[in-house]
Amino acid sequence: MTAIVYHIPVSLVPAYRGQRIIVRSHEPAELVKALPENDQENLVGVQLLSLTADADALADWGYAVPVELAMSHPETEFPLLYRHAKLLDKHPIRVAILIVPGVSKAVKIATSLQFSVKLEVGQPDPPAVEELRAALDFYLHHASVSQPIEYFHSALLSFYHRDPVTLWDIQEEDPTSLRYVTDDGRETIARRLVSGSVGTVENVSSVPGDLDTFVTHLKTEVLAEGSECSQCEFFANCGGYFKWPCKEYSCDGVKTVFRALREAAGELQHDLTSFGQSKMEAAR
Amino acid sequence: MIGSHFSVILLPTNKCNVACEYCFEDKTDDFISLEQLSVVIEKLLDHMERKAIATLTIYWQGGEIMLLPPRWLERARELIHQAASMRGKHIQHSLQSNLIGYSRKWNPLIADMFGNSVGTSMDFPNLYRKAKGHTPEEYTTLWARNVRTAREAGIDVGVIAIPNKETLRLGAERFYSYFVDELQITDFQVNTSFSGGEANAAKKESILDLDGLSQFFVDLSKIWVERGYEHGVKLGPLDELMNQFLGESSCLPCIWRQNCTDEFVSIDARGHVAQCDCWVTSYPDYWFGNIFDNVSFTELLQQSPARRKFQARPEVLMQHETCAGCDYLSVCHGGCPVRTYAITGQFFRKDPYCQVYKALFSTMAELAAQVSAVRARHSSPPMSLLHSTTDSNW
Repeated sequence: MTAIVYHIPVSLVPAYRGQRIIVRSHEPAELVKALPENDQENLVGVQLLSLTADADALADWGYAVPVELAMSHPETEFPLLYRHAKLLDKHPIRVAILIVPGVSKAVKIATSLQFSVKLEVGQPDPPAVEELRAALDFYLHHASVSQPIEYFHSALLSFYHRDPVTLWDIQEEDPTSLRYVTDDGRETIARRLVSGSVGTVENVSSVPGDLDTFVTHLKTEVLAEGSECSQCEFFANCGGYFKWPCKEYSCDGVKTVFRALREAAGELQHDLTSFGQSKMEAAR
Repeated sequence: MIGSHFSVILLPTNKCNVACEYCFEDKTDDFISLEQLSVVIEKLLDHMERKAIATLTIYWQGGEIMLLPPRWLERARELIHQAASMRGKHIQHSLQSNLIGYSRKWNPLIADMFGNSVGTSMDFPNLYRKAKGHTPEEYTTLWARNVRTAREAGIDVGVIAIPNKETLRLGAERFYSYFVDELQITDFQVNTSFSGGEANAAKKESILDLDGLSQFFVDLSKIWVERGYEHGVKLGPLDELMNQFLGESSCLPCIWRQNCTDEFVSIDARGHVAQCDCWVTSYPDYWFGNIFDNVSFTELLQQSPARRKFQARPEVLMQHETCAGCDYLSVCHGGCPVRTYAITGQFFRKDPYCQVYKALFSTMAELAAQVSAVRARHSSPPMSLLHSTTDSNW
């Protein structure tokens, strides 16, 4: 069993020594100071909570330490991604982008800069679902996309290989594998970026019960007879992810995204099968 | 692969042996001494240590580099090698010359220091390149003879060409045939003019009609794919665009990189530091500083207001230009600052060759799709696309 990864504020680095950690801060210089290069054995990655901070410190530090850039206002922050392009010379970069109206430029610029993308979807309202669908179309059909855009990429592979992986795993939010530690040291479920709340957990509901069994209990709960999840064709790929924190959330919109991903995987399978057959016929 | 590399375009002399009418350089008689070079190298190595940069490429240019004696460059190489070895760093060298002063005495140095390779420049037809008191035709004859001599000595000669009004009139077919069929050049690159420095008639007319230039690039792309691509002819930037659109590893030219400030600077014979050779020789207002000043090279770069403008340029373009909505953002990023500034007089604008680039990008994307389709008929599908990413970091 893989050890739990703790997503901690930089101030808690000493308290979590010996644990596998992702360390977050608004200030790159703080990360560099707290994480000397000879003490990075258990460092899984760092998360930069501010795109306006001077990233030079990270450009000069470490080697191949994954860096996640958190974008809570992608509709206005998108040009700032260019400041971080130089980090790619030393580190793998992922941008965690909140799905809000106007997000498309951020997704496009991030992929143009060869950054991976993780879309922070939470429980998207109808305008956010439209943005999600537009981002999916870009991911599926635009030739310039050469890096994964999650959750699309893993979900597509999951459909393609007929090997369901839930969004809890894809989005790295299952507390059996990753725990978010609040600034005051409270361990909780991996935070969802909610509009205006990057770097805080204000809008995240408190997690009922044991973190070890949170997802299992949630699944049981949402699968109650007659519920939306009990009749959902995508439950194996979702795991009730969209039913938290609000269990009354209607999944009509996000199901269209799953459907598009499943169709794209089917088309890919069909194309590759046809390709194989045509090759065999040509060989005869 | 994650690594760290930096480049310096070094002009050890600002002097030139020819007088090309459209040259952007504000030439002087300055040469850098070996003592000064030693200071430059130590400062660069300090910077590499501070920034954890493993390798450096020095692009030796001018002025005209071959106004320096080969022996001087040999000593420079030894000096650099010793200094770099002591710091555990690797410095490699690249040579750009007009080849007008080339003779066989350069061959050992070109072999040892520059991997038996040299970059040079020639246009077809040559309208503006000439020595003082001589004609472009005489220049072309001398240049072609020297290129032939160098190639006979086993030296790889790469050529940069800039289309002019006559190039457009004669067409891409004649242009391609001149270099590939007549001169037997198999490695050349087509640049666009930018008319930097003090204005004159030649520079003014070197800025071409964008529709005509677009058509030239479209035609050239098709000719190259038909006749050169799979026959060992490297034609930049078309070859790297082909790689890019085929999803293969590519190295696009500096004009289309995310931000040139992250990758290189230029230093001239007086120690002035600027973004590239175009800036250092043409626009003193955009110098970052002087490497001989009493400040480290790292601080010189960090503290330069001019450099901060370069760093900010892509951000401003994303906000105020149409670049963020462009299908080709990932291969252009708003284009070249010096072309923009020289042609429009403004810095925070997208490259004025945008229309030409788009025509080229769409043509190359289409040609890459055709190449890909042909390859698919003869090979397996790219299964690597379907591998899980769960093992990757982020």
